[in-house]
Amino acid sequence: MNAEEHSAQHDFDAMSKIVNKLYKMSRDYWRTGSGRPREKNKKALEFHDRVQAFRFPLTAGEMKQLLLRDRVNSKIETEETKFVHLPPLEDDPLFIPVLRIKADLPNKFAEFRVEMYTYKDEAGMENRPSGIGFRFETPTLDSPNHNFHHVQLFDTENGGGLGEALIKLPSTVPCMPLLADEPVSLTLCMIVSLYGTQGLSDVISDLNLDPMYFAPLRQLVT
Amino acid sequence: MTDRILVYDNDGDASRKYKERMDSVRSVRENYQVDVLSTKEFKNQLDGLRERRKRLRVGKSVRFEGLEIDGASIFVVDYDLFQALSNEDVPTGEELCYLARCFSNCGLLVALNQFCKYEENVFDLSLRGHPESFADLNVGGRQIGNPGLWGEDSEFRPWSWPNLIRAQQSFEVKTKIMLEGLENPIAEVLGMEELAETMPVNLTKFLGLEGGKTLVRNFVAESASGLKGKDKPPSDEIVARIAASRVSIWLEGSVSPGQDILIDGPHLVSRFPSLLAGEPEDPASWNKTASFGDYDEIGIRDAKIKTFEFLNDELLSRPAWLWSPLSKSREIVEVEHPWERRATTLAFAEDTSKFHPRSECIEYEANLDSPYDTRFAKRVSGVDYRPANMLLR
Repeated sequence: MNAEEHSAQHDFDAMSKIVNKLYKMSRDYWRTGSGRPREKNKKALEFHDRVQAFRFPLTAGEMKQLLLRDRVNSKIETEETKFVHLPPLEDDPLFIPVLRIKADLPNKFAEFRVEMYTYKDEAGMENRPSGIGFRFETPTLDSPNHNFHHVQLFDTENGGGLGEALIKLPSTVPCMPLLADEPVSLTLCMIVSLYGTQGLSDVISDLNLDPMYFAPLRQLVT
Repeated sequence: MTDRILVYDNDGDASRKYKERMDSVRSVRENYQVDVLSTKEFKNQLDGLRERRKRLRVGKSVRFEGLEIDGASIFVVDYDLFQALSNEDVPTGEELCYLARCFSNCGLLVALNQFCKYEENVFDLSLRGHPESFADLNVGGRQIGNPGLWGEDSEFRPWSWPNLIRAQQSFEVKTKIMLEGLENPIAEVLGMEELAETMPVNLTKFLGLEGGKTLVRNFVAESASGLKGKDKPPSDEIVARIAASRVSIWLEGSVSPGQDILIDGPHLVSRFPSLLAGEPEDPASWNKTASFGDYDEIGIRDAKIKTFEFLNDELLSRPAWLWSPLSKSREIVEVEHPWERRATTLAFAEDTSKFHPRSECIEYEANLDSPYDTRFAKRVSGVDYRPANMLLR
């Protein structure tokens, strides 16, 4: 294994750990039946149950497969129809976040598509999900304008065909720059964006990640 | 008067072997007299316990004294008592533990070989306890003489084991806490009211239909984790002993392993190294956190996190903190600035209760309902790691 392959493997292992931990935290929270935490926010739990009907969550076995399937090439890619359900958003729990991943670590490429769904209280809309999407991406190499780590909005394909986007969204602007310099630090940026510093602390607390991945985020120190 | 350990296996040679193993441990010799029960004495205990059970069922009074088991600080019994008595209904060691816990004044109960074969030295990688068992501890017969079980040093020493001497000594304190709280909800007695509200039902169902709101007395008398069948509650003192034992087993075997509700010293400093009081380069600083002393004795900067201590720590075998509020404390560097955290070169091994270089340990996922299920094992020679496939990478 040459230095580049070693680096890609190192990045892959770090990203796998983070994604797996997000999955476990999510599973722990959203689990069904008697294993579910008796959370006060019953509405969020109910919304999640409904989102599962069209944004199918990865099972534990599928999650393992996702992280093992292309380990040798240091790539991760979720299937079109399967989503990593994310832990609840503490600051806005009625938006249910789900994630699709495409990462090619040897090429320093990653795209995290976060969709967030909610349900409106308006008459006739109670059963139709409304969504908004955020793409966290490594630099778009063929774009002279977006050649930096960034996050952009995207439409959620009408809530999987069952509902509608919150509004019609611009999908290229704003293209908000992120404090990341490679795919793993991009992953950390996504987590800080969704869960804040406490959330990041919780996710990474037992992962023993290489501190180099935090270097860009250190600029956040106030 | 020296505290007494009683040992019984219907195989007399095995009984003597267990005694020899315990007697070979210095701290056992210094604290206990180990006596083997003969089969005749065993029969007396069994008959006596069954008689008490019977009398209670028909509303007659019972005095919980007069049997040798009433005065035992620790009762060690093998699981397989098959053919202990000819032509008689012989209980398993587990059934005997139930009788001893519910109808005697016995101290700690240790069952041997219930979850392993005779003479195996098993480490359960799943880290799931055995809350269904009435034994306060289940270990293999070979493990009863492991010095690590009795507070001494030992290469193989599962972190899930208590320090048996401390556990035995604190059992009376636990009983007193339960006796004083007999008419109160368990969660209140434990100081875990808020926490119990949010725990999943499959965790709190052990405590009864009302979860943490179940009164201590009702937990023993009515829940599936207390008295069985039509058994009637004995005296308040015995009810408190049952509660002390069963609640501790639940805390140690079901609540603690996940390290997501309560977190103990070594797992805490693994997540937040800035809380380590000693020199981070010195493994001894880390290993100190995996001891059974008080909060201020285990090498953790406790002042920053004092408000998150588990209040009734007498009910646990080791210091622990409430993870959820602690994990949000901005007093902790890694929470306030997660990007400032440093990588550690040491990992805490569940099978040795010590920190080792990560490269010497294997990382695996324990079978726990917790997001923090990634653990490490050193893999000590001569130990059977089960289930073995959990170590496959």
